[in-house]
Amino acid sequence: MTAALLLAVYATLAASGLPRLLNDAAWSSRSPRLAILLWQALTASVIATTVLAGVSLAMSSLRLGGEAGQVLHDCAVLIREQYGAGAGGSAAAAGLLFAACVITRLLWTVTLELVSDIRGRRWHLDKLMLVAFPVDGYETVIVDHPQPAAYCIPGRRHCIVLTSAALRSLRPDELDAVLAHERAHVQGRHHIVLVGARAAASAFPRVPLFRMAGREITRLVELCADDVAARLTHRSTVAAALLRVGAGRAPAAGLAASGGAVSARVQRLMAPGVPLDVTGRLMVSLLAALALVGPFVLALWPILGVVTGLYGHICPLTWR
Amino acid sequence: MGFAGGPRMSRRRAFAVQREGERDSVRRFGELEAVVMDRLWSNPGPMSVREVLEELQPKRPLAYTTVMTVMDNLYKKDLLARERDGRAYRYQPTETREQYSAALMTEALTQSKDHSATLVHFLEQIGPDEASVLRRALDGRRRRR
Repeated sequence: MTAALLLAVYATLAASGLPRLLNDAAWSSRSPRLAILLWQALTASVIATTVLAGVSLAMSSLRLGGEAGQVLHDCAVLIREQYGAGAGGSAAAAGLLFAACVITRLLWTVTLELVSDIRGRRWHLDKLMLVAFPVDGYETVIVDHPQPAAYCIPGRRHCIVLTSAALRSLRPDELDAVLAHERAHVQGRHHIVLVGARAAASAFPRVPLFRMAGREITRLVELCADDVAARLTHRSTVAAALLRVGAGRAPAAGLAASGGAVSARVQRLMAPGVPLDVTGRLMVSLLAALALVGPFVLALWPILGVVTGLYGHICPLTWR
Repeated sequence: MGFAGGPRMSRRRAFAVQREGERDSVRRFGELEAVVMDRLWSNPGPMSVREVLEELQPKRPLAYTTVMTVMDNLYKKDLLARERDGRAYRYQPTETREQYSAALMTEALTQSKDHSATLVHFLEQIGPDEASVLRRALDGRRRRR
């Protein structure tokens, strides 16, 4: 029961408290890829912890069927003892049910998001093909439109779309930057990263950590692509391209009012890009690893202890 | 039709704006819809299947039934309207090419919860004032580079 309690406490603290800690993390903009990994690790950690908490609750009331050999039974007794005071059969069942629900809910949401994304992309691609002018096959296409815009359709049948207005207003090096940015999204499979982030947030909507992870990952993914484009061209080129393609008219009714995000990206590119130093990277990586491994160690500690003889009794199975 | 490439196209980049003939050479069936829509958009009035077929004929040998199926599909997708003219139908686009493109772009660039990850955007609109402030700062830096 103690394991379950500890896990539950950790999950709650991480889910609600971490966002406040990581809220204005300036370091994340310096090393966006690492930051994405950390957010993914934290999300996975919290989900794994809740599942393991439920399983741990059941472990303290572990019962094996009568057909199991005496040896196995002894093992089970030892393990059960190490999980602490039993919470009773109904609590165990509840724990397992809870764990199963969490997993099912997540898998269901991920599947829905994936299917909807694939359908949406196919739908849009089909409509696009009626007006798109292909350039070098259909990997890059141009659509006649008076507003400068550029976006990509990721996935298996990927495509980079430029409007004619964007083509007119971009200088050649800026065009290279735009294409490099979009290719970075496609090649980096960022759409899958985004699906994962969105799935956690929509599967468990009231969890602050997942909401923040979703927002941050969306922002960081753009920074990653910006960095790739900046490596190929130059930081100021990408910034200029952003301004040319992103500015001009006031936002139309349907467009998101996210001027702040573009502004932040431009300002970030205008400053010299200093990635996180080795110590910082190490610390972040350690934190991510700890978040992923910690819950499993905590949950499986009693079993590990029993199997290795840490608690004085050795499970007979280890003799074989 | 299309747009002016203009002096902005770098020779090295060589964006070949594909003319109708080159577009006709793409093989997938879906592109046939694009070719047919292109004809109908370019034509001032409604066209019958036979008229479209005749326009396509020199460059693309197609069967009447193929073109008829394509135009029927486009009608079912609400891209074409049709009216009977004797024994055949005459088809006309339901919206102009510009309206269609505009609607498509709006859909692509609107960030809604419904399809956030479907298309990853390079562009998010910022206001002209903010843009000019940033642009001035950026130009200052670029000159110094």
